[in-house]
Amino acid sequence: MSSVFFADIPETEPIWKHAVGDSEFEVRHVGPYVELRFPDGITIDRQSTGVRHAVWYSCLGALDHARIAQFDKDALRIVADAGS
Amino acid sequence: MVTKLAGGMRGVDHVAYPTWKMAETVHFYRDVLGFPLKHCILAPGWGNDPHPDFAHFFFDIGANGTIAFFYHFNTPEYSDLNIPDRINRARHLALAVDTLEELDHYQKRIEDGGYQLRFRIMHELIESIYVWDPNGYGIEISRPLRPLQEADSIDTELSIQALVDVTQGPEPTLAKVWGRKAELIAERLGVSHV
Repeated sequence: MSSVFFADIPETEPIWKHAVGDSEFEVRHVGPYVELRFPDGITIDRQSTGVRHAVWYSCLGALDHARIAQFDKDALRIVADAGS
Repeated sequence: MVTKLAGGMRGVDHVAYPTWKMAETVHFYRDVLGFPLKHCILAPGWGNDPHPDFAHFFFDIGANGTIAFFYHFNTPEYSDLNIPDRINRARHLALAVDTLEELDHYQKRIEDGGYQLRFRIMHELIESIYVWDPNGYGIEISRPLRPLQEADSIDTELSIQALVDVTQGPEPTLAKVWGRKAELIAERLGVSHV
């Protein structure tokens, strides 16, 4: 499984809550983080989150066995990556 | 609220810059921003090194802190024309207010004083206005958007540790920092990965 972590702060909530998985994924709270665990990929549509630029571009906490496939003004897409 | 570190540190006494623009500097800080002049030293050059006669003067920025300038008599104005714009923007002084109304107040003072506001930006945890002072120094004034939480503190600690680790290795990248942070989260918080 791959994971993306967001700091569990008010600013990230509208972001991770709008994550859409390629298939089913799990959301769990780990200490002060929200972890999304997924087997293939997740995508977050920027517009759906309604967050401002500074929050959007600084939202990502950590990546485990995952890499960024897209992170721009339109979307954040993270995919599984065995090598990282 | 005035807070102190365990060692006794309680904030800024003063930050100091050189200036060759006396009148403009006094006008901007005293008249436009409304920072009272608090102290001024006039002295001949002294000490071992050749030193010009100088003035060293301080504007009150609240909380017992000051912003200070040196005016050195009969010295050529220095400006580093080679400094990249990115570096010049990175070097700045950010001053603090508490409320939206106070931030609006300083924006109005700057604009009424004939200075152009560079930006007004809602950052992650603060909202800021930016202006170049008459010397070309970057001045930011910020208000907090919310108090810091424990999650902010822990995330900061892990981000910095990951940055230190990754920048000690070859070819540091942001992707490597995100990866290192995941390892640190697992170590510190006992996350199990299957």
